Amino acid sequence: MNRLGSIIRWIKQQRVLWLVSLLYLWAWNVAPQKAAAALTYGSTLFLSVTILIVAVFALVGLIQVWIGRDMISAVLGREAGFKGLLVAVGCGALLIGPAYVIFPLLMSLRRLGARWAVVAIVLAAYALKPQMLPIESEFLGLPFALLRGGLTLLLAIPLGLAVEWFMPEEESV
Amino acid sequence: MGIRSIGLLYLLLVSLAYVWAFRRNREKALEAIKTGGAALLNLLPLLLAIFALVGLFKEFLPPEVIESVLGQGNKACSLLLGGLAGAVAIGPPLAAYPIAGSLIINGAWPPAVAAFILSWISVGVVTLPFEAKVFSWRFALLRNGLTLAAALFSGLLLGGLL
Repeated sequence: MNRLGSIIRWIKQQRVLWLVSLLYLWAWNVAPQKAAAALTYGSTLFLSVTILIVAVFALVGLIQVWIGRDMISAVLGREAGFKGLLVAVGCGALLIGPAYVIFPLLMSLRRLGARWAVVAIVLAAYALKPQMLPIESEFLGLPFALLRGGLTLLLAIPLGLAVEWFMPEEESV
Repeated sequence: MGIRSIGLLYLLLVSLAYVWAFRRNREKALEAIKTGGAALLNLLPLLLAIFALVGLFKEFLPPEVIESVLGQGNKACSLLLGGLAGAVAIGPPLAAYPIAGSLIINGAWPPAVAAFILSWISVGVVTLPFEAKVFSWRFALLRNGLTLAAALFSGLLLGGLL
């Protein structure tokens, strides 16, 4: 009985999965070939990031078990002050790989005492993409690429603080 | 650098960290693997759904559609459309630059193109459910909404500075 309950709870939790399945049913009816192509594209993309996802979750485990609350709060919490925000800008700018992969990583830091602004700043500074600069300037010109990068960096901290300002001070994490 | 090599690089670094961890404290290292594995299993169904959704977007909302929408209309409208198109667009940033380049060549307003790139990279409508599951709906909506506003603002600034 208990087991059945947990299965039902699990089914209820996967709302997005069922919604996407319904969308595929619709797509299959409208344009089967396109639906098949979509599924192929999605699974190829998923397989291409599998290694990355496994690595990131392994890191999530390591951080949660190893790094103490005190240390994270000291470097990325409120007591770190402005320096913590600068560290966040640096981390975000240097990060490579798709952003969604690091969501769980950032949340594990948050649980250990990093402030919300740090989480939001890492995700904002992530748009800098320094490794893509040659490609960006190739297509859009160097002034465009440099200005866009500069604005991304400048706005990262205000943006992060704005997100934090709207978040509840102490929520259950 | 391709996504696979990025993955291998991450895996190499994390493996090195685990080698160090196992030497320091075997039990704690095993616990770390268990914790990470449990977190992954918990989020796996949602990840699968998101990737399936990405495929749907790619097939039913191809870049050409975005391009045709962005290439017309007045300035304020194209700025907003640029930001919104970037928000729903899917794909690595690498794919955004060629589209943005062809938009500029076809006469699109540079601020709209800048807003498009910025929101392409940092606003994710498709990954929103995942972001909400990890952080909370409040954070996900706030971050994406404010980032979209910042993208429009930077686009305008960039247009003035160019």
